[in-house]
Amino acid sequence: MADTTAYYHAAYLVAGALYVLYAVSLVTRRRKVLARLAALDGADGR
Amino acid sequence: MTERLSIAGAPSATRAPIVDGWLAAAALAVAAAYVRIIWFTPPEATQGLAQKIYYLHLPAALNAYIAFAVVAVTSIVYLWLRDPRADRVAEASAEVGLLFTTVVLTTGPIWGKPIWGTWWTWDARLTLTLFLWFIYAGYLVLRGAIPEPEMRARYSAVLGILGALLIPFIHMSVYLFRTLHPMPIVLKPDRPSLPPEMLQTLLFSFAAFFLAYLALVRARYRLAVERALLAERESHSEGER
Repeated sequence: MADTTAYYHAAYLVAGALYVLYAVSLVTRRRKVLARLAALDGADGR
Repeated sequence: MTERLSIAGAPSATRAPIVDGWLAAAALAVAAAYVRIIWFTPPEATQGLAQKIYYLHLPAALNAYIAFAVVAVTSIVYLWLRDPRADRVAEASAEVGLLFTTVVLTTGPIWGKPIWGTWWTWDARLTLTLFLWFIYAGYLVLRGAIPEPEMRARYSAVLGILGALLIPFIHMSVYLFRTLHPMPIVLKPDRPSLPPEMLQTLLFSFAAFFLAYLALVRARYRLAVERALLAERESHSEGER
């Protein structure tokens, strides 16, 4: 049986990184939108 | 206004937490799947540990199929009812489907290099999956390029429906063409040809990533709702000046 351990580790790291990066991008985009909404609320005096 | 734009039955748009219970549950489920795959599932006899890439690759492919099927169905609903909620679900599902397709297109070559001896080959299954990625990447670029919401929803609905027509061809490509890609061992007319331990791990992994799909689509939908709210508030503020 050939040693394929490095490929196995690489696949799990790459997939995990992709999922985590996407979740972080969702959170970051949402924070920006909420900050702009809060700024509009402030400008409207709400 | 916030209530009208919020998800039915979900917290109102601006009061919902950044990381909600769905995302936390999905993260735990995916972590549990990783633990089960890495420590509690035996390696396959001939491929060694590389075979375990399958538990990431296949659930990502199945969830990508589901995601793009949801894009097609909600796009049809949008064209029929002109309901912006259907357009937002389509947008959210397309983005998450593109994430799963990216996982398929990266984990596949990492498995292919030690098993086939090459990172990539232009066979039907791989090439059609790459085309699927380009179609939904184009779908998201199209959405970003059209500022008018109704026109954006209509044009992207048509592309979303046409893109999903590739899915049956991708699934059947291993029967229709000579291909290096392995034949289905789960989604096939007769029983799955996997030992029970491996099949259970595969089903567990699929369930965990399906929960991740639901949680990410839900979070992305909420972002779309809040963006619509922001666009409306900004245009209202500009109108008042």
